[in-house]
Amino acid sequence: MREGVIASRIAAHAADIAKGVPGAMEWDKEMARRRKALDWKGQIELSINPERARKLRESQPAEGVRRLQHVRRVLLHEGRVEVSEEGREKTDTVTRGHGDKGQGQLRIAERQVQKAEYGMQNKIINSLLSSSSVRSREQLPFAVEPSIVIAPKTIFPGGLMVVTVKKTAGPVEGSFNGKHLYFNPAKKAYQAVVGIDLNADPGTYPLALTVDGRSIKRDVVIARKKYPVQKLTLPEDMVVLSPENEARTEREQRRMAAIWPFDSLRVWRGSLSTRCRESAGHALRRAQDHQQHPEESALGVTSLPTKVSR
Amino acid sequence: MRAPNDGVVILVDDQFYSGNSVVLDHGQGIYTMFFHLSMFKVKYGQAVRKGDVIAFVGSTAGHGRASALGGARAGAKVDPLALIKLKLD
Repeated sequence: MREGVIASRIAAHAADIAKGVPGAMEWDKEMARRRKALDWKGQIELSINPERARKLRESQPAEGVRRLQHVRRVLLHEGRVEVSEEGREKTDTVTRGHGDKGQGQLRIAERQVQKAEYGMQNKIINSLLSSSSVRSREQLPFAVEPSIVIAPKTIFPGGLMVVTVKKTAGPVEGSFNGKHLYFNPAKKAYQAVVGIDLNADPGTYPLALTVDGRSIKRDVVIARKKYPVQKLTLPEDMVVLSPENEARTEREQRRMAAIWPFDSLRVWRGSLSTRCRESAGHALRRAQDHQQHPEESALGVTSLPTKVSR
Repeated sequence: MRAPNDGVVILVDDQFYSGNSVVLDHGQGIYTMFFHLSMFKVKYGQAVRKGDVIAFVGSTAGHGRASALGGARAGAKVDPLALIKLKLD
């Protein structure tokens, strides 16, 4: 019954094209475009029987492997790539061994291909990019040279640095000036937020990353930045401390300092947000009657006790 | 004052200089600190969700309105506004 319905829909579509029904030819043209772009998901969405198309596709090897096979077939056929016997064997083993669905195995396959066929891969990439079937590096069936972006361009003490690693198949490890970085998955990338301490000396600091098993090093320059100082006048007893208050402040400093050494598991999600007013009190060092106090090393922002977007 | 993100309260204290203070641990070394508060609405060890009221603004310690301070990595003190403005996934 169902097959009959599908058959009649195909026949009806053919008739629509023949009759010049608006939209019928566009449907076919769009399908052709998606076919050319290897847009499998798009083709399924547009098909007359999406359920069957999906099932057929799921029974095929994983997308990356299929693309690899397609690319090899095209390039070898056109004589644009020469594959060594050893390389051919390794690639065949990889594509045969992982001819199923599953992103994890796909990544393993891509990595193995990358390792085994590094030289060939570069040729394939260049050939692919000059061909019409692949328009960007993201469409390539391999993990390629990772892209590392450090933002902002100028990094200051008291500021933040965001390290973004793109074009990588797997998790990224790293450290900045010897301190561990936490890389979290972002859009087609892995991202780490680094706090540059307000009291960091200007200079060059090492950023060390491990991406797809490769060690990558970068130098990060921390520029000088002078924050304006806000001088506060406090009561005498807050400037010249009594023994009791001195003991109290020392105790509080120790308590505060004990917080930092322990990095806990991530519980934050999305951006931090609160409704803040960039007032005259923003980003000021505070000095209290020219005395050094714990707050002096902090940057403040005046906040309003109102809405927070969830 | 509302929690800028999910976190755990790791300090609720009346401090000599910073007055009533709350510190939230958001994990992976990201902390936010709130000073000069008038009233606490959270307790030590409490888990908070983004947007939860953690305290009321005040002016303890004789000066200033409520201030939020951010430390983005293991005690590195940073501009809290930079932390809040940061777009994270």
